[in-house]
Amino acid sequence: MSNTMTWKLGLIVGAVGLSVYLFYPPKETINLGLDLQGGSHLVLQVEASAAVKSEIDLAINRIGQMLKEKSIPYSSITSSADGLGMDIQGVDSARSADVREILDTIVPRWSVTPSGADWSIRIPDSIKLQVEATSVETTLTVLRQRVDELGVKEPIIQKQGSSGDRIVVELPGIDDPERAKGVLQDQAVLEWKAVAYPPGVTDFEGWRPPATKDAVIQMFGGTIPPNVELAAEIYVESNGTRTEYWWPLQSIAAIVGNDLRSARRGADAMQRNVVDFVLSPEAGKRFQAATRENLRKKMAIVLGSAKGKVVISAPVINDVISDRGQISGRFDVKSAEDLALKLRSGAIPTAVTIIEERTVGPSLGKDSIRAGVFASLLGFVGVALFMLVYYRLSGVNAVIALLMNVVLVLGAMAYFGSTLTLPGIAGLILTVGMAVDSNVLIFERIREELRLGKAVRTAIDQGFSRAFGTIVDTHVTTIVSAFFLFTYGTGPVRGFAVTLVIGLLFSMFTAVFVSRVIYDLVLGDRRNVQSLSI
Amino acid sequence: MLQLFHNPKIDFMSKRRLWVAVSLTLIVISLGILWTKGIHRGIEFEGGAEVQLTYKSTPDVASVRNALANAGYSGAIVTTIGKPEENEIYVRVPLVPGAKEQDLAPRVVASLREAQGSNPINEVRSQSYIGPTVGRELVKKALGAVIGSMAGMLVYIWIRFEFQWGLAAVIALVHDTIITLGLFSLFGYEMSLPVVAAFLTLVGYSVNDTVVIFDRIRENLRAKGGTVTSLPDLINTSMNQTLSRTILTSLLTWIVCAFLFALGGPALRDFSFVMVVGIIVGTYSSIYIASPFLVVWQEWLGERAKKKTAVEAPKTVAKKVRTGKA
Repeated sequence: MSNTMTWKLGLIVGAVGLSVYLFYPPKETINLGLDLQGGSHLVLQVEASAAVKSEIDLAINRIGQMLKEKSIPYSSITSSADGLGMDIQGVDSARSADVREILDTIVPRWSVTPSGADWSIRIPDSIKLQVEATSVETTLTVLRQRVDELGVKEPIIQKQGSSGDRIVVELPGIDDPERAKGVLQDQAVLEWKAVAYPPGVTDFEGWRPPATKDAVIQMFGGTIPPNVELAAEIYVESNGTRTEYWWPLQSIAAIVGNDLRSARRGADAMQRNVVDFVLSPEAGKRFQAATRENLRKKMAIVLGSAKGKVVISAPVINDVISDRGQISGRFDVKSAEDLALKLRSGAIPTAVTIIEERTVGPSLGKDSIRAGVFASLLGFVGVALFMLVYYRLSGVNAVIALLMNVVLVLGAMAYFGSTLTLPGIAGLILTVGMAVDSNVLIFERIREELRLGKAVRTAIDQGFSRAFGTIVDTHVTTIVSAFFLFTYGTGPVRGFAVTLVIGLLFSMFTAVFVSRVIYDLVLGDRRNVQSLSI
Repeated sequence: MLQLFHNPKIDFMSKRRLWVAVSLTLIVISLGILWTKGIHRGIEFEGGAEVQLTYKSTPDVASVRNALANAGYSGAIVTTIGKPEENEIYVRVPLVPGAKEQDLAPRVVASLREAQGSNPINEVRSQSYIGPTVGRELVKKALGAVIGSMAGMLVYIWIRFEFQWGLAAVIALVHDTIITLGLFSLFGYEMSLPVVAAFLTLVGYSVNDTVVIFDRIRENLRAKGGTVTSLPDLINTSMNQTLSRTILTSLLTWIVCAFLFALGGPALRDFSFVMVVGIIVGTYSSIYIASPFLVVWQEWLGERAKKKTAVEAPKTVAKKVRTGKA
């Protein structure tokens, strides 16, 4: 055997070996699409414009309040008809400078156009986009958190579409889609509750509750008072250790999530990380009373979700707080940002609507696999039989190449982690149907050369080389349309396009290179080959 | 040696007017079917809800339909699917304009549960809901992709051959798509995402036969130094030379699609129908539409050249077909 032959055989055996290694065992290496393994595919529309509206409403509230505080006379302040800002009417023109100052504090970068006694204030596009983007980001984070709570394995949660306000959520193998949808759309309830210290606790600022429910109940003497409830604060370390603190809390919340207007990471006078938050004016009044009552005590921030209530933080109330407050603690940048985010997520700024749902039960998926694989196998057998009958030993050559093609495609799919969908199964077998075309093109050309009386080796040579250009052309055209398919399609259809393209690329290798090597191998070094089984 | 055609000498070109007439008739009929029957659009395009469920015993389609009507879902489609012993039905409910209906699918299931009586629902096998905006966008995207991929073919063949060859291939593709769509409509299949995928695949695949013939025509042209006395004769020869492989390649892919159609389950049926029909139409058009167009184009150019020469100086009309750069 010549050197080049060894090299070629090595390449082929290596490629096949690698593929088998990659996709074996297929149950573990090939990702099944939701249509095959069952699960829910959801597309959620984030109403980002609602976030802009609530941002404007907040500004209107605050500006109105400031105008009153500073006793600046005005007749009305309303959101503008275009939904992009507000109009203040009948402002005392002598106080223009003061109005300007208020606007600079509350809406510093908005565009302000005074005309006589009327002021028109508009949110600029840059801020509007920012608000919209933040609302999508926030929603995305909330959804991730909630999917984690659902305990779904390998979920996909990502933005989709050019406008960037859609979120795709894929939940493989869930058995209760209604619950999942409920949790995802749940407007998580955020509450601020004063800590109900058990009798005997004197160090209100330093007290931390025990790690078990029973221990807390014990501290209350065996029964929890009627106006007190328990909620856990949970820490999960990076190594997986889980610590819980069971807080006794007053069951009536001082304020709830809807009262919260915003929360951001900020810095205090000492440049330590804190979380700044803003409440609605009305909630501010309630909070003022609650904080006055609980000064130098702890208040817990409780996040209620489908799974129950969790304490996310329990800061000490250092000052009477009205509508603006600060949560200080030992935050680093990330933890402060995380807390701000959770606070924001409690008050999802926008509604989330499901605009697309596809849920497939596990039994349907299994049936689809069975039917798809069965039809594909028969399709393969049909093609193989035809090739064997029509081209005899050369047909064997083609069938080997086809099998190799399938093996290589499966290997590549396992390697790239691409998902096998039902159309993907169709794509795989369709690839077989198209890959065999290359063999037919070559074999027919070889036959033609043989009919012209050429020697077997020459006929094979010319058959391969003359068919090659045509093979490239036919592959390119199919790949071009698969490309458009990919850009157009979603989920299952993309799976189909990917399988098709991978299969076609490999068929260039198997039908041209591998088949050629097989001929060379079989015909060996014999100088004078008299006949070819084709 | 087993062979499909022994040295065929079929005169494809002489009857080209007949075949063009046949194709035009088929196209007109297809358009007529599409015009009158339209195409069932799946919920991906139309919006709405779709559920598939099994009952403990054989469900009564009429009473299911009644239950839905009583629950206020007008225009619901109810059919049995799958094997009879599986007691499975398929329900489709259209969107109610202006309503917020993201819970449409579960609500449909709930109202069927309420009305189930002595034959309880066994399992909800699938449920889907598509909102109204999604569908509209999808129609646009699907059309864009089909037109885009045809344009892609035109450009590629233009680069590899010449403009009129690309045009010929695309005309054949449009022909295939229209006739397949007509049959699709006639048999009442439903347009869905995978079906659009099948049409795109068909565009990519049915051009293959055309390219195989084109390659051979070009090869034969080159062998004659680019000048031929009779283009129809040369095309005839080329088509006869490639006839076996044209039929064989199509046949093999067709076998695969036929298995998918017959045994691949309901989810793949609409999809494979397009391929099963499209491959046949595509093979026919490669032979009888795409290649004759080259002759038509040349004759048309010739006519134009003649008219031109009548006015200007008399020149001999060189029957030369440009054969591309490659």
